[in-house]
Amino acid sequence: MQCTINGKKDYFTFSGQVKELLQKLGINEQIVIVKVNGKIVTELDKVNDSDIVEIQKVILGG
Amino acid sequence: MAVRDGKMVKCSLCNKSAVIHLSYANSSLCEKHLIHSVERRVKRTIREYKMLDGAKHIGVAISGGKDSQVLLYILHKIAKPMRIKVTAILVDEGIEGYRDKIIPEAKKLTSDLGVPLEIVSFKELTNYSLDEIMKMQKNQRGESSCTFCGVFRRYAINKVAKMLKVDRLAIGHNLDDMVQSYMMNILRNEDLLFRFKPIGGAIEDERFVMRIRPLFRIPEKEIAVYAVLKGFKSVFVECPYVNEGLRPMVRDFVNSLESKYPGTKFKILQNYLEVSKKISDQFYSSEEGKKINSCSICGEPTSSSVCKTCSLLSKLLRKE
Ligand SMILES: [Zn+2]
Repeated sequence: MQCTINGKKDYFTFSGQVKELLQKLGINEQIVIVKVNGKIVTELDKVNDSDIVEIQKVILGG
Repeated sequence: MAVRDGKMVKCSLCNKSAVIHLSYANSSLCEKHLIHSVERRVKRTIREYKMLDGAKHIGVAISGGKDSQVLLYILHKIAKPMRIKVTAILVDEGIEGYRDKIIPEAKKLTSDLGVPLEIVSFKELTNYSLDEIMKMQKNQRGESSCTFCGVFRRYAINKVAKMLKVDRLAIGHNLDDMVQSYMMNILRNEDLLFRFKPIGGAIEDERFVMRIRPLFRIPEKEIAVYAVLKGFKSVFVECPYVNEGLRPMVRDFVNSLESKYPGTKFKILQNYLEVSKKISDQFYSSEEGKKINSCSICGEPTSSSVCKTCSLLSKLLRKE
């Protein structure tokens, strides 16, 4: 799967719920927006290896 | 991708793909229904807390971040038919590589909406930018950047609000901000509970403009998704001083609690509202609560003889 995290492109194998993907990456779902193939999805949506995933941290500021 | 549609989470109100899952409500919303739901809840908060009753001119404190963009956008939408004037107020802290990226975006959004924009800088108010203040603080065990920033921002916004004669000052604090502030208040054993009330200010006084926080019950992620759906830019510019201080740790802690126990943030907020009401009722009926001084240096209202901005600034200058 192609997975871009905060603008940095990465490739790895994953298939399952977005929630599990975020857990694996150590990212809390409340601080990011996840797009799959260009569309915003929820953490309950499923992804597989053929998807292009984009994870963007959106909770910023001090 | 179309073949995967069967696996997509659907909106609880219609059959479209969901853009957000609200675990505290056990529901999911599509683009249209999230936008609708956020706007409806903001309107309800404004009505319930009588935030705009009798208002003629709202100053909206904007930082360029998503919260204040969403706040400005929604308030503008609500205020227009009510014939209430809206002015955006932006404080330029003087952080290189941060504010200079955000100011053009703020100009664009305000001109798109037809809202006047007032920019005020730390430099013109205190003679120092935040970068300069932090440089002066180097090698000293001084206050964190967020402390300086917070105090000076409040001072600057208040000053401009009075100059513009606004009768409401809207702040973009969301549910997460409220909960974090309350938790930090507990962890530091500070006495600042009134500072982030949904309506009102630190001290209720005619010299202070009434502050309103119409987003205080909206979770930050919902605001972020709203901002992205509306196409607001500069959502991703991060303040270079962001990792200083306690807040990021508190945020992570609260977020992991919320993931495990959905609804935790709302429960903490509810506890804050109840506790702060009791404390504030007690304060205003006490002798201390009745006397509010003017700062002996700048004349701004304060509960002591010198306001927090002036005392921080003089501490800084002594170190020079
Ligand atoms: Zn829907």
